[in-house]
Amino acid sequence: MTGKLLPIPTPETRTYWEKTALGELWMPKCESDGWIFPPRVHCPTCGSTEFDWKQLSGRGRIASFIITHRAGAGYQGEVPYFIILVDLDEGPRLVGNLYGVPVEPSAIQVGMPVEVFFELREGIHLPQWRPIGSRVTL
Amino acid sequence: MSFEEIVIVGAAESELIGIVPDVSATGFAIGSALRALDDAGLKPTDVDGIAGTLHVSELALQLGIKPRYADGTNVGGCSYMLHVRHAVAALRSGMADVVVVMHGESGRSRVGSPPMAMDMATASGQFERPYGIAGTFSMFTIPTMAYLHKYGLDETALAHVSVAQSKWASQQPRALRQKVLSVEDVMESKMISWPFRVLQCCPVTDGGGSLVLTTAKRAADMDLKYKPVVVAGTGELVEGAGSSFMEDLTSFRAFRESSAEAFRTADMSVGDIDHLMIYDAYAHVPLYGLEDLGFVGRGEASDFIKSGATSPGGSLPMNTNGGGLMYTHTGMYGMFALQEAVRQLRGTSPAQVDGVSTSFVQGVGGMFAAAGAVVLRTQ
Repeated sequence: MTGKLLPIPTPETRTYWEKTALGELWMPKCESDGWIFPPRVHCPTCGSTEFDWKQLSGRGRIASFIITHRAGAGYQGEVPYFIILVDLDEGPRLVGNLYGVPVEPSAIQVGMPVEVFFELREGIHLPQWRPIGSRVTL
Repeated sequence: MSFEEIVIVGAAESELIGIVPDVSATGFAIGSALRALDDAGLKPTDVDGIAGTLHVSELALQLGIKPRYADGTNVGGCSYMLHVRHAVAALRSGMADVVVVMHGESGRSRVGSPPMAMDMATASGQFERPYGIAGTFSMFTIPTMAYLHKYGLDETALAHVSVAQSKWASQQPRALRQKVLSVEDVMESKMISWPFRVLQCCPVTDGGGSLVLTTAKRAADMDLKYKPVVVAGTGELVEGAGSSFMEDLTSFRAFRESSAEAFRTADMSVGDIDHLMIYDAYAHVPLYGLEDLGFVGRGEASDFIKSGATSPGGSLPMNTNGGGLMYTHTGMYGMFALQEAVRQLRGTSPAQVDGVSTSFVQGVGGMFAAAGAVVLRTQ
């Protein structure tokens, strides 16, 4: 038990979490309107329920970030730490923590390229982020 | 098509705001409702419509009435702007004759407040909350660096918001933070969530406030202490789950669209507005608001504030109670922005601006999830 919060998968998101357990990032993709995130039972643009899940590259760029000095549940031993928004190369945006760089404002910038790795947290594999080429893991 | 004019005839905050450990959330709502009704010369039994973010059935019981109109809309801190908007529709259509919009929250002392539980099956629960989001200060704030980066601004862009609003708060005896601040004071205050220091984050407080609305026709027959304040226009938009799901991290669609509808329904534009309230849980929100509402161009909001335009004596007095940052922030602050707008239009604010005949009140709810806008004017 880390005390960190765990996502509760739903029927709409089960495939997402099954794929992260394999070390892969997948999302639903509508043929005509593109990626659907968060996962839903329909495409919010055209209303279609006929679409497939596709794999993403797991690479993106930091769209925004903060450095929190107050710990969220289970993060008490880690302050300060980064919380970042990543715009994936394919378009969708994910939240995560950034590892593999010093936790200071000068070590991070908007636009910095990052790649996904996965944190195993009590049976759930969460996408996390590190600079391209970093070997850091959790 | 011309609609019946709807007016605010009663407005009051709870007797005490700030750190008040002996009043419950419901107590703040009912206490302020009784004060607002007294302000309008009405009794609880005159009320047939209620709105609030607490359980409306509990509010009805506590107020001792059986309302035929109840609105429990809860989209976070701007819910009260939506309640006003919905009350206008209800009063115009005859669903109610007198509506009381109530806010009460024991945000600091947590008296009679439900525990704050997170649903980890929602989009935010699955994709935002697991990553060490300690509070709104580490999630609502997260788009800010995208904004600063886009316009080549540094961290001090945020500090000017707190500095300007501290000048108003110093004139407000009920403000929690009353000290006039310098940029240095703000930048040297305790780091909470870089780039946000504690003086760029709202305090968490206890308090309440209520508004009483009715038709202008009925108000004309009432013996009122103050001239009615007209609800000239309103707008609302629910954008979605929260800050990571925004379409554009540097602009808030719900601000743009709710304000545009409020201006359109009021038949006004930015040049008609004498006084502005923009919900400010954190210092970046007025920057987004000034730009999204159209008062300044993209990337210009911080320089506009720095120039003194929104400070005492400026061309666009904004957040004249000191805002959520300085005045009080119970958690769902929107009611206090509405109260200050009514005071300015009545001429009763401790930080009164001369000649205010119109006020624009913009609320945000749930960390860039929803927005509500209300345009008020003198009758």
